[in-house]
Order: sequence, then structure tokens, then C-alpha cells
Amino acid sequence: MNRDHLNDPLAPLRDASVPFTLAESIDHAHTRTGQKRQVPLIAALVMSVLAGVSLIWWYTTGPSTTPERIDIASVVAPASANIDVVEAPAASAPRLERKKKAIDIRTNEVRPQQEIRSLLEDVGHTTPGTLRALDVDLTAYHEIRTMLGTMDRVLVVDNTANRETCLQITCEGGDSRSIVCSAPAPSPFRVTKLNGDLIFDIERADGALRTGPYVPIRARIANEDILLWYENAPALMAKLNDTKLVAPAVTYQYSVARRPNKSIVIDHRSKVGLWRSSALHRIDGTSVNESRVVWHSVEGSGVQVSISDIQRGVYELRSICANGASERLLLVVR
Amino acid sequence: MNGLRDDPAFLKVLEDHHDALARFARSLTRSTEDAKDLVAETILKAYESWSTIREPGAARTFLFRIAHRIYIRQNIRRKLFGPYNPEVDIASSDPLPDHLADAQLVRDALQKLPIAQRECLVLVDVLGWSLEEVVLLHGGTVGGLKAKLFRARQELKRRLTSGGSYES
Repeated sequence: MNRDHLNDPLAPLRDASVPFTLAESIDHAHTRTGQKRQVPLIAALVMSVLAGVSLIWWYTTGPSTTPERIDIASVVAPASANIDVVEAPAASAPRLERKKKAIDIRTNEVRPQQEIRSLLEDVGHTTPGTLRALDVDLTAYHEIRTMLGTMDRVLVVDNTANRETCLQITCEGGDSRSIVCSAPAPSPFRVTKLNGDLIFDIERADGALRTGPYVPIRARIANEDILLWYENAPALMAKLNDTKLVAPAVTYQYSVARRPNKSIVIDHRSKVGLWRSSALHRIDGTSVNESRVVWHSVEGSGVQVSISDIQRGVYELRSICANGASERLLLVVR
Repeated sequence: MNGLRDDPAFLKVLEDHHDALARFARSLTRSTEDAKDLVAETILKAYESWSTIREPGAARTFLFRIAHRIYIRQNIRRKLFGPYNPEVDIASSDPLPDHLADAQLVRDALQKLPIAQRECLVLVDVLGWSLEEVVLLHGGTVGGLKAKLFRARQELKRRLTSGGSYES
């Protein structure tokens, strides 16, 4: 390699001719289409065989769903029984284990936890059709994200036109820059990561935010999955009817402003009675360990919940009541 | 695929950007065959998603983003599913005439750089993209990209001067 090329090492690549023509590429693509068609067929065949084998295995060895008759007398020994003296026959031990397992599955303590799913399962995935229906301009959100500092704010300045929204980024020092993007009226009020962690809020000029239901849709900017959170506005809900997106299946939804000490307080009117336990989760189901959840009953069936050390984002509070019923609260922490 | 040939709008976009895409692919990959595979795969994917593109002006970014993703995926697949011997591959696939030896030397050195650095370097220094255009494709900030380019150029120069491109 000569000295000139060391000053500009990529010059040989710039000077190099195009390695193959468009016609060659299209022919090659055509060849690859034929090859690719065979692979899904083979994969589908293998998958169906595996599914069949799994189903047979599950039916033959899986736990029975029909309740068994339980002879309580044989399971629970009377208090007066002398265990040291009476030796159980060896063959009866496994039988006792099996019956205990059947009793556990039917208790109230276990059932609600089994029914809880990750909220992400309810999140609508964007298709090109969805994006068109909602008129989402992902490029604008990507652009905002790349230029947004930690203390900057995004504000909806003009949302009067039905197909355009003027968003203004206001920096900490007071400088601002406007971005006009194709967005629905209204635009999403929040953009988060997939687990609910805040990327940025899009504030309304009047600061108002409707109460739930909030509707997240999943999109992708710059190779990262994000959630766009919409509020329950009639114009949006009409569009959502066409796209079949739905609000997450939670019992209640709250939008709560964070206090200066990074805590929030919610006054919640429970329909299922007193809480026995409660835990904070991100919406992908992972638990939040750094926050502390405290609650106490107020008049009637109300509960006042305090959560300390909570970041701005979207969370789910899962609670189990004394009677075994469960409640799920979606919290939008501003 | 016959539909591809019958779609004049898509063909026009390919005509406009194919050469740059081919040079991009060839700069990233180890052989012309790999580059041809990458471009063919990109064309197929682009044609599948062609209806989603709303602004014709975004077609170039659209094509290169697809190529970028496929390239990343191929690399992961290669790392997961197969031991890879670059020397065998280079020697067997591209016997070179003398006047292209410099280009191959640079390509070999590029292969030693991290993928992100390699892509940015090719886009900016070979294809002449602006920093803002690369940021739009890859995300991040202009400042971050400048730092990445600086490191990439230094590393490339170091490898070419020390003969590092032939190190194992």
C-alpha cells in the first residue's frame, strides 16, 4: 500500500468499480426466492410433528384437571394419633403426596397469581395498516429522541389541524426548536421503553391528561422497540375501533404526578375488599425492587397507597385481597 | 419476484441506489458472493415492505436500513452457528488481480473493525453520506458518530501501517 493511500486509506474502495450489476442482483434475488420457499415448508412439517408429539405427551403425562376425591381422614392424622408408634406402609407415601398437591392447586392463594399475565401481551403491535390509521410519524419521535437532553421538555404547541401536530422541544436554558410532524390529533402523551421506562413525555399545552383507559401501541424506532401511549380521546378511540387495538386488561388506570420527594400517593376505591399484599411491576412483568409500596385503609373500602422512590414511567400495581381476589392497577407516573 | 420486475417505481429506486448499495455491501462483506447475497436479500425484503413506504425520498434510507439489519443478523447467525475461517473464505472466493490488491487489503482491515464503526466509515468515507444521514439510519447523535468515525479511522490506519490486517 503506497503512502497516499495511507493518508486516505479508503480511496481504493471509492475508486473500485461496482462489483455486480442490478440485473445480476435481481437474478440472484430471484434464485434465492426459490430456495427460501422450500425452507418454510420443511420447518412447518417439523413444527407440526413436534406439536403433535407434544400434545400426545401432555395428554398422557400432564396433571389431571378433574378434581380428585380426597379422603380427608387418610390425609390428616387426628391430633391424638401417636406418630412414633404407628408406621405408615411404604406404598401409601406417594399416594399421600399426590392428594396434598391436588388440595394446594385449589386454594385461593395460588389461583390469582397464576392468572396474572404480563401487560405486554395486551399491547397492540403496529402494522403498516395501524400506523396509517393512526397517522403515526415515527421519524419525528426518533428525531426528538436523538436531540432531547435529560432536562428538556416536549410540548404540543399546535394540534388544531387534524393531520399535523407541531411539537416544540424546550431546552433547559429556554431555547426551543419546533418539529412539525404528521401525527394524529391527539398525539401520544408518552413514549416509553418496552418495560414502561420513560423516554419522553409529550405535554399538552393545558397540562391536562384524561383518566384512563390508556392505550399503548408497540412501534420500533432506530432498532428499538418502544411503546406509544395514547389517552382515551374520542377521535383516537374511533380510529382504534378500526385497528382493533384495546386498552390493557387492568382493573383501574391512574395518572399520578410525582411529588418532589419522588413518591406518589393514590386514593383508590377497591371493589374487592382489603388488600393483603401488593407489589409494583413494570409492564413487561419484571418487579420493581427499588420502590417501597405502603397502603392503609381509609373510610369504606378505600385504600390510600404510597409508593416511594419511583421513577417516571408506566407501572402495574398488583394486589391480592384478603378473600383471594386480585386487582391490577396501571399507573402512569408523571 | 416477477412482480418486482413489473413494478416500475420499485425498479426506479433500485436503479438509483443499487450501485451504492452494492459498494456498501462489498465493503462490509468478505467476498463478492457474500455481498451479492446481502444485496439480493435486501431487495427481497424491501420489495415485501415496499407498500409501507410513504415518502419516496426516504427510499435510500429504507434500503440501507434493511441491508444493515440483514447484515447484523447474518453476523449473529455466523457467530452462533458456524466456526468461521476468514483466511480460507477470502482465498477461496476472490482470487484478485494485482491492481485490486489495495482494495482487498483495505477490505481485510475493515473486517477487523467493529460492525458499527465499519458501517459508519463506509457510509461517510466511501459513499459520501453526511453525518446527519448516517445518524438518521443508525440513531445516536452527530457528536457520537464523529467520535466513532475518529476511532475507526485511527484503527484502520493502525492496522494498515502495522500490517495488522493479516494478524489472526
